[in-house]
Amino acid sequence: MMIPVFILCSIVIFLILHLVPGNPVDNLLHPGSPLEAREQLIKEFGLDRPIYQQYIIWLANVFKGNLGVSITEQRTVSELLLLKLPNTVVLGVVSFLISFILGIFLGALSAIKQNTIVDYIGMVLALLGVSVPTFWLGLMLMLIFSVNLGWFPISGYGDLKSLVLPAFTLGLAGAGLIARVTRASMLEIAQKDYIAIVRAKGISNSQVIIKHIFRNALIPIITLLGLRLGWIIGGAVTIEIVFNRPGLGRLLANSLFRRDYPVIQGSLLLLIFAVMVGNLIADILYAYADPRIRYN
Amino acid sequence: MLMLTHVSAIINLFIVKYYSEGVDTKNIGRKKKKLKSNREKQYIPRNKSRIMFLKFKKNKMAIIGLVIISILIFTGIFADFIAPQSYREQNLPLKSQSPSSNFWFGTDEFGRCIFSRIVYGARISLKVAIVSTGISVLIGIIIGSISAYYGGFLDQILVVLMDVMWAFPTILLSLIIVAIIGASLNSVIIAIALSYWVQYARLIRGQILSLKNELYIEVTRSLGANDSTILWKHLLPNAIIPVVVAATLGMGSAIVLEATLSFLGMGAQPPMPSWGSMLSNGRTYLFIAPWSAIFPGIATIITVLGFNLLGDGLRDIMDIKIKE
Repeated sequence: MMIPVFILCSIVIFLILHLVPGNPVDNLLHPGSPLEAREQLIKEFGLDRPIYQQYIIWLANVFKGNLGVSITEQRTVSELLLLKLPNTVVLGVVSFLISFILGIFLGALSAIKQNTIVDYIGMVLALLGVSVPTFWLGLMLMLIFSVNLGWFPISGYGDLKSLVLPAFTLGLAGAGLIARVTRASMLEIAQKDYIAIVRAKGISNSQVIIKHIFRNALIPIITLLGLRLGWIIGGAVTIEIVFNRPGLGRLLANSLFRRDYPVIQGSLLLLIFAVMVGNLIADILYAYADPRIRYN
Repeated sequence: MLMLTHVSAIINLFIVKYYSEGVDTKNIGRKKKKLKSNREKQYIPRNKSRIMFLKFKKNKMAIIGLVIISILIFTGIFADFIAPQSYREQNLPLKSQSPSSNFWFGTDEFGRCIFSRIVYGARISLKVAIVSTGISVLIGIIIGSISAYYGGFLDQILVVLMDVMWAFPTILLSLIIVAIIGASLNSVIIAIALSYWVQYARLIRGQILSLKNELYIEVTRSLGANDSTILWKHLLPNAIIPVVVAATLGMGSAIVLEATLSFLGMGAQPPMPSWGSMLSNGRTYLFIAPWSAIFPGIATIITVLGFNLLGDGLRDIMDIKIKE
C-alpha cells in the first residue's frame, strides 16, 4: 500500500507543477531573446512532449535513481540533493531528539505533579510551544543568544555551535504538543483499573509510574513520533531560511521561486519518502511497545 | 498501509481529543487532592445548553481564550478608530525608531507606526482564520461524510486521496500551492484551505462511520427518509461537535501558517500589514530595529493562544469522546 500511495504522490507532484501557467525556461532567458532560443531550450528539457510521456520518462528515471538535471544550476538533481541532505538530516534528527526528550520529560513531570504549580507552569509552556510560530522563536533566540549575548553564530553551518540555535528552535517548538499528549496519556492510563490493581499489590509508586503507567502511555507518543516527522521537515524549511543554513528546505523554497521543476520534484519526492518511512518506523515501534499489536 | 491509515486516523482523533490538559483523574503523584464541596453539585439544570453555559463559565481557560478572540475581533472591526496612524503612511525621517510614547511599538524601516500596522493586521489574520478554516471545513465535511455514508469503492478512492494529501507536510503543500497560483493574500487563504481539509474530512468520516449504524438512523430510514435527509439532517448535526472543536484549534494553525507563508515572501504583498510580512521585514532589520520583529510575533502568539485556549476549553466542555 505504501508504494501505490507513493506513486500517486509522485503523480500529484508532477501534475501540479506542470499545469501551472508559466514555463520554467522563461526564467532562464533574457527578455528579448529570440523565439528560436526558447524553443530550443524547451526541446532540450523535453517540455514539448505530451505530459503523460514526460511523466513516464521521469518516473522511469526516478526508479533508476536519475532525477534529472536542474534547470537553473548546471548540476544533476541527485547531486544537489545529496549535497544538501546531510545538513537537513542532522538538523532534523537533533531537533527531533530535543523535542521528544524535552516533551516527554515535561509531560511526565506535569502528569506526576498534576494540579500543582509545576503542572501549571509546564502546561503553560507547552501551550506556548504549540502557539508560537517556529520562525519567530528562531528570530528571538537569534536576537538573544547571537546578537545580545554573542554565544552562538547568527548563521552558517558545519560546526556544532551553529547547530545549537536552529536545533533548539525546532526542538522547543515541537516539544509542546508532545508534552501535552504525554501528560494526557499518562493521566488516562493512571485512571485504569489495572493500575489500581498494581498499586494494591504494594508496588512502589515510582515503579508503578515507570513500569506500568509510562510504558502504557508510550503508545500514543510513539504514533506521534511518525507524524511529527513531517512537521519537523516542514519546520526545517523555515528554520533553514531563518538561520541561512543550506539544506533541503532552503533548496526547495529557492527552487519554488525559480520554478526549477526537476529540483522541486526531486526534493518533494525525497521529503515525502522520508515522511512515509517515518510512519512505517512508527508502526514497527508501535508493535514493539504494545505487545497486543501484531502485524501479519 | 491500511494499518497505517487506521493508526494515523486514530492518532488524528487522539490529538484532537487529548491535545489538552484538563483530564480530571486520580492523582498519579499520589498527593492528597482537594475534594470539591458538595454544595457545587446541588444545582443541576435540565436544559442542555444551560449546562454547557455553566460549564463554560467555570472553565477559566476557555473564557480567557474567548476574551482574547473578542478583543481581536473588536480590534479588527474598529481598526480605523484604534490605530493612531495609517498603516501605509511612510515617514522616512522617523524610520526605525525605538518604542516611545508617540510610537508605542516603534517604527519600521519606512517610519510607519508598528502599533497601527499590528492593529490593521488583526483584520488580515481574522480574515485568514475564518475564511480558510471555513472553506476547509466545508470541503472536509462534504468529502468526509460522502465517503463514510456511501462507503464501498467511492470510499476507498476518497481514502486514498486523503492518504496522499496526508503524506504532504502542510507547510510544504501550502507553499507549493501558493507558488503555483501566485503570491497574494487570497492564494494564501486558498492554499491553507486546501492543505487543512483532510484533517476535517478524516474526523467527520470517523464520526459518521460510528453513527451510521445507530438505531435512530435505522428508524429514520424506515420512516422513509432519503439519503440526503439522513446524511444532512440526522447524521451531520450529531457528528459536528468534534469538528467545531477541531476548527477552533485549526484557526490558530491557519494564522501561524499564514504568518509563515508571508514570512517566506509568499503571502500578503506590501503595503498590506500582515503580521507575517511584518516579521519578514523585521528579520532584515533585526539588528537595528528588533522591535519590528518582536511585536508582530507577540501579537501572533497571543491570537493563536486565544484560539487554542478556546478550542481546548470547548473540547473539555463538550466532553468529546471519540470512538476508536
